[in-house]
Amino acid sequence: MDGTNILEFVEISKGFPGVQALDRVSFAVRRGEVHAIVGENGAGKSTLMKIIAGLYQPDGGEIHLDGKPVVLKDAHRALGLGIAMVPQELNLIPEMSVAENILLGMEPHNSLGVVDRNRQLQRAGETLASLGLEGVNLGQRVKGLSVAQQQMLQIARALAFQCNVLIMDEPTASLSEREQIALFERLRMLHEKGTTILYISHRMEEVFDISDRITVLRDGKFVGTLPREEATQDEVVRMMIGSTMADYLHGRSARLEMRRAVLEVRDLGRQGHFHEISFDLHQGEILGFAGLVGAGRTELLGSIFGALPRDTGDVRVNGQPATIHHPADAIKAGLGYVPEERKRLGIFPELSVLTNTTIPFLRKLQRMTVIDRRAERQSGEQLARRLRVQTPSLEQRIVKLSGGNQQKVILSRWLGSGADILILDEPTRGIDINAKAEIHALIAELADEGKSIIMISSEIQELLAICDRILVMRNGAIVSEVSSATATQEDILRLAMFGSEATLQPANPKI
Amino acid sequence: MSETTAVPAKKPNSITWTDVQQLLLRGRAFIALILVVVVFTIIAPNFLAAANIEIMAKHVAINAILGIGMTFVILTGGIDLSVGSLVGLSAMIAGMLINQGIVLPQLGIIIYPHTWLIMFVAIVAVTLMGGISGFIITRFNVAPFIATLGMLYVARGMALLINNGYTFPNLVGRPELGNTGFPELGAGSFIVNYSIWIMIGFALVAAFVAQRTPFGRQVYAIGGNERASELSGVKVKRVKLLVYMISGFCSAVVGLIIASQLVAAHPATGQFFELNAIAAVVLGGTSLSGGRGSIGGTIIGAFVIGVLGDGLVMVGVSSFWQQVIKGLVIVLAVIIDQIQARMQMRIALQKQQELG
Repeated sequence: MDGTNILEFVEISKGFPGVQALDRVSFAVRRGEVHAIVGENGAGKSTLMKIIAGLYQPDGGEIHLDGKPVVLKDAHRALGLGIAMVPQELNLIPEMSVAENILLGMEPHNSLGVVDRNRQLQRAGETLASLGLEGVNLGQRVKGLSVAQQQMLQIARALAFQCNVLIMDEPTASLSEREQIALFERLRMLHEKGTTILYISHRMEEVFDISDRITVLRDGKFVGTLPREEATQDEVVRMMIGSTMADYLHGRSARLEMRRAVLEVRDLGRQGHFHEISFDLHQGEILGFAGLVGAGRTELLGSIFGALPRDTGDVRVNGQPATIHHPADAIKAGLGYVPEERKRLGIFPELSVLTNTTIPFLRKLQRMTVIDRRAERQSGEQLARRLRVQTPSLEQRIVKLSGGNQQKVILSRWLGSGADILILDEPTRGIDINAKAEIHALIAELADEGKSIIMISSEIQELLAICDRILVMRNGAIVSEVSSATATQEDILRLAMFGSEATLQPANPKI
Repeated sequence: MSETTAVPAKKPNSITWTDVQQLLLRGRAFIALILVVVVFTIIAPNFLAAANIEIMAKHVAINAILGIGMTFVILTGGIDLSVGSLVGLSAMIAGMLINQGIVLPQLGIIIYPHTWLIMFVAIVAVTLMGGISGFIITRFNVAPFIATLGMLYVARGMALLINNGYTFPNLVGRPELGNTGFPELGAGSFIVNYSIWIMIGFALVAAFVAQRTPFGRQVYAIGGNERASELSGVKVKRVKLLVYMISGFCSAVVGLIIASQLVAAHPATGQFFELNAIAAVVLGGTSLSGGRGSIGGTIIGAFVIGVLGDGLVMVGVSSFWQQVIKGLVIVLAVIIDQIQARMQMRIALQKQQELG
């Protein structure tokens, strides 16, 4: 660490349809430091890292490397300049050997262009040794390795390219504690050798454990850079949230006297994803699930709906034990599910709005075995009107609608199916503000009608605004239950990041 | 249109060149059919003679019936390579039951079933073979291409094993055994040949099933987005199993028709028919990735292939050149398909931008 800047960001901006992911972000990274970048989901961390790695092009601004402006037009160029990224989703080639993966794209070859096996093995071995990983079987296929081993391999690959700047995007998301410790040891080794490390994480302990300086981003904007010695966790959390948000208006208070439980979940568990989950959902209630990405919320609710597996636990619907092995069972029991990834899991892009609406409740619309087209159309029109879906006609292919309107169509499925319990996973992600407000209003309206709603959101403000109660998950367990009337955004974020000191047991569902 | 939604979008102002292009592209199979018919009518004077049309329609029926089953499979995003072999197997099962009967050596008797029963048995057996492909695909997550490629070999091998590779000739049955009448299926007619009625009947039923029943919807849904279908409560595995059974069923019927027309069951019957069936489906505008297409399109596609083939024969083009021309037509059809898809994307993007 000689104190000069290896990387400088000058007014970097990047927009996607509907979001300004980065807004004139400027800061500098010193040579040889471990520089952590933190922020809430959607703060722009990953976008920024992808720009440095050459995967995205900024709309504006400059990147200076060693004081000179550079254009990182693709990942290859970035690698050539010594910038390598270990992505959140590992991209090794499972059918190839360890050695082949490390030297992929730079295989040593002889004058005829044939790969030189011996030199390949030797160089791969040296690279691993520099990470302190002797004794790895270089010929082994990557698909047999654990996630942690694969991650090491990905780091080795970065080193083989002689990188000076190593970007790690949420490296510990899928590691066990022991593997984390091993990873940090290696990172410290690299640090001592003078490699500059950019480290993205949600987890405060890690950030404070490993980094020299911490940069906070919020809503795509640069908030500040703090040396670790001068920073406190509270301060960083406050920077992440922004001081103005301290007292967010609570739209719905805990006005519900406790009504009967419509969904009772007991001791649900799935190895490696969530464990000992118990909670009740009451009639007319909106129950929020807060937590960081990877806390297990999507896996938990998907398993309640029968879309994802679970190992243990029972679910009761309206007091009756429910055996749900397939979404069809859940739908029959009166559940509805709006998945997180609308494009991949929600819509049928090439099919019409009407077909997209009625698919889960065709049985209700059939006479004998034939779909009653008039009933289908009536039902489709009614739902489109109620949800104010904006489409030229019900025959329009849904892919042509805006994200907000697509989401309304997916919601309308479950109104049509007559579901009493709705599970909504990030229902307002990636949709415009007007549609978002409409969906919020609709959720409240449905609850007032006596439907019960579970909602995941990464926007804590959103949960505080519309939920009655909020369960906070961390590392696959419910760490706390808070009332949206009394909790603050800061409380919830702190629980999601550190858990509650007092107890790591699931919250008692009977209040 | 305006009552469908609370907020009607602006009305399209006038017909533009892109609209015309779109219409031409969408109706391309039908246009191709008209083109082929017009060209051959000019070159071969008796091309549109009634007798000739019926012969061509009989040829078309074979591909069309197979294409109907194949359409369901391809709509789910799968493929069935085994249909040709299943045609052969169906023919051989019927041939065996007519000429040899069911031998029960322990009892020292031979049962000669009635012709209707024979056809029923062949259809059930071959439909189940299709079900086996479907089971392997859904239960063991084997790619449809592989599972049905395996079935292609297995079923053909079984067809050969039934009579050691020999043909069952002269499938007329014997009056004293009460199993006569099988050739009637291929030769008989009511105004036109029965096989043409079967094609029409299957096409109407299939189009109805595809458009108007929950099952049909689910087939499209699976091809459109399998994960989303699952989350909407569609029993994806069950539906997929059924489509391979439908394809097996259609193959069985075709096997019976051919054996009946020839009054003989040859174990090589139906070789390469799967390729004609796939070609008919693709020409008819059904996307090989699933979710988009129609039974009507497949029928037109089958007509294009059949008319093209017979027309080339009548004009006297060598059979070698026929193959080259057929191949080019199929590839051209898919290229046009891609152009259409790209155009639709462009139009969609434009509309989005116009809306803001």
